[in-house]
Amino acid sequence: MQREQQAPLGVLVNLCPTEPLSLQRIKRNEPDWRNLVRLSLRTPGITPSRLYFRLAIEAGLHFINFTPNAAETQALRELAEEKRLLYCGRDGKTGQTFLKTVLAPALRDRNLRIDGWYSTNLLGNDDGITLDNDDCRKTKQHSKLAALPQILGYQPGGSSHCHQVHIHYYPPRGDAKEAWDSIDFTGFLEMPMQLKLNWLGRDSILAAPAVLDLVRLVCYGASLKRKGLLHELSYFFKDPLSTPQSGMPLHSTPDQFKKLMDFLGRGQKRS
Amino acid sequence: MVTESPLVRTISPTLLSLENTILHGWDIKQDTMFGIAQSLSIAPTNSILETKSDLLALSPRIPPRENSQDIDTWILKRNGSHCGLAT
Repeated sequence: MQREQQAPLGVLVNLCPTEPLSLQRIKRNEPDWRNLVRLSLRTPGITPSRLYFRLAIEAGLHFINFTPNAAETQALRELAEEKRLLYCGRDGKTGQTFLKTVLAPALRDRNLRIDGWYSTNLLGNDDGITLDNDDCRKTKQHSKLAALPQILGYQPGGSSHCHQVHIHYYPPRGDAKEAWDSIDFTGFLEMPMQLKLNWLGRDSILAAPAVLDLVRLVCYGASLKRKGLLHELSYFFKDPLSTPQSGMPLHSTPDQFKKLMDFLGRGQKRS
Repeated sequence: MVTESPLVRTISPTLLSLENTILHGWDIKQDTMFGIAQSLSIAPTNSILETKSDLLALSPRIPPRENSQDIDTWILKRNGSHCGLAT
């Protein structure tokens, strides 16, 4: 397709369904990713998302992982960097986690202590069908739970029971996704307070522009001759990837946005 | 879109234009873009119907290897072609 269209740059966006958590663990050594002939979906440690990443590298395509699937194994990251390709991920941040990572830094900065954050989701599209599977849902929950402790610097309420994320497949809603958040927090003189949020979003309408943004920004990164992880795009992800060079992943949306704007400013300075 | 916001347009005027972007990919459960738009209700029904003929005209490309049964076969064939073997 790239050749036919004479497109100078190709980007592969991974939008695969959420994969089961149990399939994503690499028990011993990684598969021999360099040897394509020995790769098969039946080999342990090979998942559809990893295979897409590997094939993207083979085809010389930059890679965006919009799913929570752990596609970027260490060996595949190294291979992408060797080929001077870009990658970024994971898990598009479009709804509930977007709001969570906007609000949590604001509450933290006001020194309001979060004692508990209960999140639940209703969705009725194909994504909902996949997440109705316990093992797949664990992958998604793992991704959605990552942000809060990192932003706050502590586990709300000091226990995993005090930060819960639930996902329910509810067919009547289709693509109209609903999220509820109930937040317990404490202020001055130890006064307990609450905040209730109800997000009524549209899954595809929220995700599609983020995908287009990411494609454009990866092309921009390529124009700066970057390679490897494009960590400046963490703004778009629930579970942003990091490297020892990029430091701890940023989860706070305002901090991520600042990082993104700095990144975009680099191109202006260059021109 | 973030990249279409006035702030980003001020900071970075050099982003790839959407007109120069070619999209490719498919939800294999549907035969046309109209089917996808309808099944996902991604826009109000009247908007989808207004562009029905345009959406119906968008259908999947022929896959890279018509005879491939699964991704394993595709990889084996691709590797074969890399090594100069018959596929």
